[in-house]
Amino acid sequence: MSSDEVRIVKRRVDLPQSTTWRVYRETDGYRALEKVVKEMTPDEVIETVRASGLRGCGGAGFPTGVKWGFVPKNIFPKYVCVNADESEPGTFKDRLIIEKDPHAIIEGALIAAYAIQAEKVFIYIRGEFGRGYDILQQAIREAYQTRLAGDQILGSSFSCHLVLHRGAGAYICGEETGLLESLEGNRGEPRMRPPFPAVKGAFGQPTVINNVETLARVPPIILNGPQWYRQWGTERSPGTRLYCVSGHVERAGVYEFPLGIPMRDLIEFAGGVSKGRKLKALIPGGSSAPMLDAETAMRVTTDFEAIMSAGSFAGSAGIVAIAEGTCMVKVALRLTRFYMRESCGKCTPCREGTYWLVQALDGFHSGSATREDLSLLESVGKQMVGNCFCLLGDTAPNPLLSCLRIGRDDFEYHIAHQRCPEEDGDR
Amino acid sequence: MHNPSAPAAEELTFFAGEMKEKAYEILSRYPHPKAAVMPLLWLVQDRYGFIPREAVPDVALLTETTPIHVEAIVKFYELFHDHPVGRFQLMLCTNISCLLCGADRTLKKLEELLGIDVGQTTADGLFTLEEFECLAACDKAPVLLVNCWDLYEKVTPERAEEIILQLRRKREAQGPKEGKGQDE
Repeated sequence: MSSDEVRIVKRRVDLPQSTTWRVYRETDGYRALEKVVKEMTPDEVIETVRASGLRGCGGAGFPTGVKWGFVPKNIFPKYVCVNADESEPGTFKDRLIIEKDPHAIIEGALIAAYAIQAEKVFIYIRGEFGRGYDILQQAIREAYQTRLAGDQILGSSFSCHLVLHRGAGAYICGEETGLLESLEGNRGEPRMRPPFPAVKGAFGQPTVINNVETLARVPPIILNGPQWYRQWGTERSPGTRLYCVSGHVERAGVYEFPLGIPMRDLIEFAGGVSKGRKLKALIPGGSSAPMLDAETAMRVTTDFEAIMSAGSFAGSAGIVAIAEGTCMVKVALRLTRFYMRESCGKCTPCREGTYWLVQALDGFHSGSATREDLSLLESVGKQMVGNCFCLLGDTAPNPLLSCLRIGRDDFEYHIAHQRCPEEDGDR
Repeated sequence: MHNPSAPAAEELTFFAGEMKEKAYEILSRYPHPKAAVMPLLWLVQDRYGFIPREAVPDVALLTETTPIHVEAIVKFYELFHDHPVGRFQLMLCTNISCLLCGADRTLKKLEELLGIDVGQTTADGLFTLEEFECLAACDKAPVLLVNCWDLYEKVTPERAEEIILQLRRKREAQGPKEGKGQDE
């Protein structure tokens, strides 16, 4: 692998004043928007994005152009929602774009709006991103001042407004229908699908919901064409991705590489496992994705298909390295507690299941667990998968089940010694 | 587009002057007034530091919802407070990457330094300490977010001590509480 990143989305992040309209404009900014409103029909825009093979970068990896194509043509008004509610543990790429290249999000969202003929874009940003909120607000102001947003954009007949909407601390609102509920002024409890948001989304109208990174990829694809984008990546996972590498690595960070590069190379690019330790487990796509054992992690490539074949999913590309010597009981408890706290409470398997798991894991932590608790964990965890209302509950047992698979010794140690192996120097 | 109805304006008791105007501007952004619940709550909280009870009926009136709905929203979303919190709301991330990078030691140190447990506010009303999970800055783990605004990176126990000292000095220099973004 080349030692250099392929910077498509990251191209502006190191420029001084990268958040300003001026710098954005000087670096090809808003040329794609100009091109679509002046030279392309909405269908041509959808077709270009479809042909590029761009896949959603939020977690599901659904083809973006296909999603746009689902939107009915004859129902108005329509909306675009930007999912800037980045909160999957281990994921921190959208923050980079929001804080360093906000105009790329705005341009991508306006192109999406043109493609489906939406009259309004709602940017749903997580409440903890106070600084990002102000940066985006400023960028929106600049877009209005320069006639890139609002009525008759760039003198065309296309009009579209931008609304920045601030969340208030709920992981579930990153789930697209939870986001819609929240945007409409409700508790962020996911909706039954169908109807899908493309048909009946925000305020009951056809809506496209895209992740920040996905939208930031649209302008360069429009400018350079689908074949240009396909020079990177694999046939089914084309282009590049922002990989968030953190945990036990020497140089954690957001790195942009073609999809399908070996995971091993990515970890090496991040300086390898910290302090020369050995890898024990790896989360390949945010904390909801099942962990890979060290051997599998070092064999797998980073495209959606390869990670799927390895028994996990590429998700949000939040890659967390966990080194030897880490107690997997601790890891399981922390991650499961997160899902318990963030469960919206709407469905029973998730609300009660996560609670039960945490109770049982607490027993391991405090030294009261017995062998029966091991099977209890497995049984509750497995019963949750596939039985919850949304993906939060369905994937909540993944960290625990992974830890049981990869770090069973740690659980046994807790049962036998009533304490954490990390506290004992002999390991 | 929603057009705020005149009766609502007369019945308002909490929203007045500039804040009322801002509320109507917010309402005009959405196809339905209910969507303004969260933005209006932010408007209140940015100004008062929490959501005073008296604001709830007004938010309900403006958004054509009910006080119980507005209260349910305040309860559901972790960042809304129905009671006053510390001048500095310290949110330490303790999720996976921060955990792996020693966040628990930092948390213990913060509890010691402030003499409070997670979830509590210091007697002088200066600090509220919270665990807040995954702040999307895992490459800088462990991270501490102050007032949803300032992000402190690689917060070791030693660094935590410095930050607390720094914030105390800032408080002395600045005097009473101001609006959002005051910690720039």
